[in-house]
Amino acid sequence: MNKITERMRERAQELLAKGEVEWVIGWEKGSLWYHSSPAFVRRPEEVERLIWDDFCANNLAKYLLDFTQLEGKVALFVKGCDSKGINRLLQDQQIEREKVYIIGITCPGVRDARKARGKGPEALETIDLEERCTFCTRPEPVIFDEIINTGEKLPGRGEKEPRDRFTEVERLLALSPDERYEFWAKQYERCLRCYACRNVCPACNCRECIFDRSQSGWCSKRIVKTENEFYGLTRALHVAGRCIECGECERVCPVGIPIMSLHRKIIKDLNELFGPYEAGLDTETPPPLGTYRTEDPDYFV
Amino acid sequence: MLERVLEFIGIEPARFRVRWVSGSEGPRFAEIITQMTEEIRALGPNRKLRDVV
Repeated sequence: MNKITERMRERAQELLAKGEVEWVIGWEKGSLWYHSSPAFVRRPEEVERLIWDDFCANNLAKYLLDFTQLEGKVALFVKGCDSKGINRLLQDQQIEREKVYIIGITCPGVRDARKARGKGPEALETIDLEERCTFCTRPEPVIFDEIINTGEKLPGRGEKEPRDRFTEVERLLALSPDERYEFWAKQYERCLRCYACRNVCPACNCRECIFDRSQSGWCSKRIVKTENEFYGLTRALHVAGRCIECGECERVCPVGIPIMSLHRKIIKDLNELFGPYEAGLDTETPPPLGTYRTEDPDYFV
Repeated sequence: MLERVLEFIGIEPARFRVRWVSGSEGPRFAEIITQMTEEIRALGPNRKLRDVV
């Protein structure tokens, strides 16, 4: 058992036993060695379920929306990227700060479970990091009540400088418009409209989503590439300036659409047009598209 | 923003335009639309994001 797991169980046990929180949200071992799924713990004797390992990729922040009607508090564990999700929900006024107890984990990085498919646990060291971890500049949470920092790091994180996250966007920008159209049309042809990307996204917190309405008049439920692409574009623009780049949408996509390339393109544009901005770092700075400043670009007026 | 995103997925940016025109600026409105129509006519019909039913 690693130190993070030890500390997680200890703290969960204390919080639940003292009745400070009603639930603890963490991770538990899934059915496969490379699966770690979200775990919801209510009784102090159940804390043994909680674990931390190389596959605790899930951002648990979104689950807080399921507990908004609860009288008491909920404790949850967050990595650096997940903590920006908490700020997202706070800034969007979806959750109350006093009802959440945040235990931050200085994240050593997580591995890509998809790359582990068909391999045995002995291959652990050879499995790549999640793509988002290779871009990561903030392993330490930006909001927390207490923090677990064991100083551990996965190889590939820490020694190397984070990679430039706009490389793929720039590669696509260098293509001709027709090639770009073909690229995206091919990606979205595979979309199943399962909405996993939306369901996992902390910025997608509308209580009623336009895509759940069968007759919104904007986008039909037909699973054809253009409607799928329209869905992807609309979602990308809905979260424009609010996307915290946790990369969960891309991780959960069953057909592997590079959703983050679309989102990063928007982030890149926002940085160019409205100045550098990183969503979810705090709850005070208004998102670039959620505010007005006189220096905003206005060439169309 | 939308203009740049459309360009990113391969749609000609000329097909989309945002301009602010007051209700009293009829001639300006006509001018913008005429210009846009001409530009789009030069591009030809849009075949992108259109599915055959």
